Amino acid sequence: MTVDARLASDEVGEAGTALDAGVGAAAAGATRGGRGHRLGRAAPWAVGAVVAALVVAGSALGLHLSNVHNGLIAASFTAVGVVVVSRRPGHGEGRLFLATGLAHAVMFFGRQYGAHLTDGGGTLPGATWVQWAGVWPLPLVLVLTGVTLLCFPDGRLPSPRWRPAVAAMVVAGGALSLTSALWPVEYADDSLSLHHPLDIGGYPTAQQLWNGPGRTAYLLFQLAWVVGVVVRLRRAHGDEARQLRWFAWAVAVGAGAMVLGLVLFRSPTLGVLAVPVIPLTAGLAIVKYRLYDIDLVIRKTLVVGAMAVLVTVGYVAVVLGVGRVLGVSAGPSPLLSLVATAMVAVAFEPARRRVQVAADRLVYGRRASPYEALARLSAQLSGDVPHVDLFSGLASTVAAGVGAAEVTLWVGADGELVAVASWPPPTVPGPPLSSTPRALASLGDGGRTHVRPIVHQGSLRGAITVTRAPGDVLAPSEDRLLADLAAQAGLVLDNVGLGVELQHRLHQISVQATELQAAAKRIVAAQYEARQRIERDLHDGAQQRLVTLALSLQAVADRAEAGGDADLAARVADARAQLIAALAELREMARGIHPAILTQEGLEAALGFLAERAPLPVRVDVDLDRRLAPDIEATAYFVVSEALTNAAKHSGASAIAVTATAMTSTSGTSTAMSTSGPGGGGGGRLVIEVSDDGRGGADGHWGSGLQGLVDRLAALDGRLTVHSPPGGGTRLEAEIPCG
Amino acid sequence: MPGPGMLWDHRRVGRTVVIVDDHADFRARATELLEAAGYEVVASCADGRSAIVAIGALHPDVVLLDVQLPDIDGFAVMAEVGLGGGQRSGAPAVVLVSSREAADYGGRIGRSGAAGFITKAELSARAMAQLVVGP
Repeated sequence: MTVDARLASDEVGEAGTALDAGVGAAAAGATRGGRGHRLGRAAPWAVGAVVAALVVAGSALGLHLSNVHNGLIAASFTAVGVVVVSRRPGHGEGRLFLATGLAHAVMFFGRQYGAHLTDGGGTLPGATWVQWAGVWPLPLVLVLTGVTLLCFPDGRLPSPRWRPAVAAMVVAGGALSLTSALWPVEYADDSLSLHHPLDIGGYPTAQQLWNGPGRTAYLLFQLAWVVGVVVRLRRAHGDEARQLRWFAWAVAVGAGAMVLGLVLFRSPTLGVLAVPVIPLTAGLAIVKYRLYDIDLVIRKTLVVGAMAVLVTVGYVAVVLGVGRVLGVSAGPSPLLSLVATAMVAVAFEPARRRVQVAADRLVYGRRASPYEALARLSAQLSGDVPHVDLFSGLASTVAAGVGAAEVTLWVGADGELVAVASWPPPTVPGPPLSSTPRALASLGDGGRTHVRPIVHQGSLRGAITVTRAPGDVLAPSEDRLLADLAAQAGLVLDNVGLGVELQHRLHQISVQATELQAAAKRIVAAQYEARQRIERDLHDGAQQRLVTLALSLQAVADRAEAGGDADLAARVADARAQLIAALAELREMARGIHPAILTQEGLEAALGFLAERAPLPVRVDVDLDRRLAPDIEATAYFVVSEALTNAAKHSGASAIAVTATAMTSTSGTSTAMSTSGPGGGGGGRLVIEVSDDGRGGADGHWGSGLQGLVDRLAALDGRLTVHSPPGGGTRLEAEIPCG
Repeated sequence: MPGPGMLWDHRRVGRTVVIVDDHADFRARATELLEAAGYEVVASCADGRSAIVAIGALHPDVVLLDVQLPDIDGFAVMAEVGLGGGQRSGAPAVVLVSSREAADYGGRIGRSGAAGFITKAELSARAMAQLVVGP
């Protein structure tokens, strides 16, 4: 608002009213974080009505160019303030706008009143004092305006560190206003026709002081808000950054208009007329705070401005330069004009393209090149990223690659497309963007949205929609990049889909594995019980009958012998002997089904039994302090039984060693369990080792018996390893978890 | 190898036997066999508890004791009646029987202090007489 400072000076009037209090309160409100004093719901409209009355009344008093800006500022700031506060009640920045508008309305009216001359050539009643009231508040109003701009867009200072600066501005503004109220320091400018109403001494001193610190303070007020906006712009991102860009654009347009007006017409009128652009744009940015198109507006402004300058300069250069070379005298020459126009026309398009590129770079910063966009995507793909982040990353990569205002990633088949990610990311994380499935054809939005289907292996996997500002078309290179990214996105969706599918399958498999393991355990346990039952049934049933039969035969033999029938006795004795042999075979069978000794006496006795019966010397070393679960004991027993049988049959060994040890495994190291109490220790395991000194190389001899044991062990989470190097003996090791 | 005379000798000595087995058929056949050989079966018991009572009351010369009984096993019966620590003079000789083999009990039969073990099918007065050394 350099405009304001430059044009501030005029007449004297007579209408102080409550302006002072209003300005002070608004400025203080801003320093307290924009809370301001309590305005009722009707208050913004009341302020609007007062400002409207002052501006209309002031305008009716005539046109004074040096005062027009005050009226424009009053009207525009107040109008925007009313809209903002009524749309978003309590909005701090809206209140500051109202205060700024009101202050300018008072100044406008005071100066208009003072400048007006009646038909008789005289002034209006009390004109000196009313004008005075429109002049002296200027420093404070400048402070208020600065604070208003400093607090854009949320009504708060950029940071609490600004409070001392604002306080200093208010103090300085107050001092300057007081000076201006007492002495006609502002009246030195000849645009104020009436005199200062007070005539007290010391004016030369006051004027001297004013010329130095006063002017400097005015400059610093402007500098303060400019710095504040720049700082805020650098820090801001997302919506606030867009709001600030709009604001900065408006300030730049205003400043540009001012410079243009001063240079071309030697008049600030153009700049003054552009002033309302600032509050209007600011208000728009506050109320419609998602104005994504700002970048396009800035780019177009830059391009049009730069091209206007280039065309003018080019035209002038050709006309003047070529004219001078050809010796054509200065002045309008149709031929030269034609040549210049033609040259400018030829040079226009290439120049426009360059300017466009430069403007893009200025607005978007360095945009990701297609290669970078693809590299970024592949980096995201190769990382271990949750697929939700992958989707967001994909959307932002597309946005960065083609410079889109909005990018949405849709996933699904046609008719079932669901938005899964968007850029810019939603400000409030929450439910999915759109839960209703859409068809591909419905995604396009009046030509602004480019729809790119994501096709992978011939089927539609999703879509990318890219929304650009109106009139902003995709360049061919951007179009190609979008196509490439869509192709990559197909891969992403496919991978994510595969990943999800794979996870699902793995989960199923692990569930099935757990079930299988449990089933195998149940089968082993059931098998164990069945074997035990069969053995018991044999023992209690058939065996007992056969035993009784043997005793009966013995009785018969005894009688035959007593009766002297030696032949009968011998034949019965033979029958009894065969029966006893059959019973022994039956016992052997029953033992193969389930060893009774294991149930009766435990693993150590059972292994001892196996050792006794083996045809080779067997040393048994058992280190157990408790009975283990029946199925574990049985498995261990059968492992040793099978190993001993194989060793005896195939190894040619002269001796065999069997060890059975219960271990507790603590963080990978194993210690014998003998110190722990009975039944104690989780994660323990029973280790069975059977080793012989035979010829080794026994791998081929382990047949179906071993496979059955491996299966049993697997069901119990155990494992079996056989080391049988040729010539190195055979060592079989089995481990069974035994809790 | 004792001849028929020895059997008679046994009868003459009038050795008393308590048979302990949970199978009634076995008890009947064993009683038949032993009585035919001159033994006096003074009691036949179906479980360990009644065997302890009978042995304590009757002081038999021989106890034919099944290892597997429905309540307590034969070893426990021996311990209960003070026969676990080996043969004392005047105490009954214990002959363990089972339908299983001795090896099925590990070393327990050897350590039990019994006079001997006979698989049930091979029970005969002669086999028992070989184990129970007469006074």
